[in-house]
Amino acid sequence: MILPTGHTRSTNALMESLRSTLLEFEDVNGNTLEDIIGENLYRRAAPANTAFPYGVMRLDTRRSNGFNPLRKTGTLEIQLYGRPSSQLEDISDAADRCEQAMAFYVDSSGGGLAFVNDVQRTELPEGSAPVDGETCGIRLVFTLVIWPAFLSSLTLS
Amino acid sequence: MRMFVDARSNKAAVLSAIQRGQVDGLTAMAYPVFNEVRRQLRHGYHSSLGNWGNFAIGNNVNHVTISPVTVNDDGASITVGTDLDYALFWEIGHHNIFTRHFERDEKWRPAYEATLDEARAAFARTFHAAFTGSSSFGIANDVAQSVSFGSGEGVDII
Repeated sequence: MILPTGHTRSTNALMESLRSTLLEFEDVNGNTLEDIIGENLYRRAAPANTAFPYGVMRLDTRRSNGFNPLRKTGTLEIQLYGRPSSQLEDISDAADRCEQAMAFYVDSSGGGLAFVNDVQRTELPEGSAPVDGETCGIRLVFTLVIWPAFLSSLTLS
Repeated sequence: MRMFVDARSNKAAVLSAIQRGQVDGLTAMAYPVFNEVRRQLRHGYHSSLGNWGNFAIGNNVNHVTISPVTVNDDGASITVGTDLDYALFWEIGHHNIFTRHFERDEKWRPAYEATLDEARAAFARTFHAAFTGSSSFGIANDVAQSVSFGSGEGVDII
């Protein structure tokens, strides 16, 4: 049996790879997402009372209909939140850095493959009750194609 | 001339049937999503505090709508949607002033994913009907009439 390796050896490993890429990617001026939100990029939801600004990320995948069962498509959703609403410019810069980090993201380690091929960016509208109107948010949805090593290794076993 | 063979192009009828099949197919495709979203919204939203909130359920369900089909040069589209802001924020997440927590309870995306195959099948079934004559706009009869044999006097010999 061949053990899957690389960042697509598991969904957890892929998420950690994506998170570190997002936080540590440096733009041409050496700025990173971490400069704005620190380490506050969480999976699924932020802990209670997290300081603003922060981000949450979530990966949803499905087997591509009509394709090889080893191929998956997915969406990586990143939501960046600020409060008060004057933090909108900060999280807009943060969103730019996320886009830069993911623009050429390709992971082909360990016999798997993951890459980004699309992104949709939305500035969330100002909400009224029950929404806290002082929060501001930007939502990024990246489309990924993934041949995860934890699946492709099955055919090599 | 007492007799002739008349052949006509049926392209216009075919294109017309495609367009009508497209409109009917998209409409049929929208209903599984529409029904499933409404079904899920009937339960209300589940908050991070663990309770099922009675967040104006009837209003939310009644604001799920299906748009008319829009046809343009790139094809056609139909939208199942709502005009309620709070429905959007519950779907994508928000900081709630009442619970004082981040709240999110998706209804739309799961409904869309759960009904995708059914919606595609509905489209295919309805679109296909346009070409088998089982619907009022079927082109089977048009095709049968596309080539006719007749006399110049208007007396059909076939």
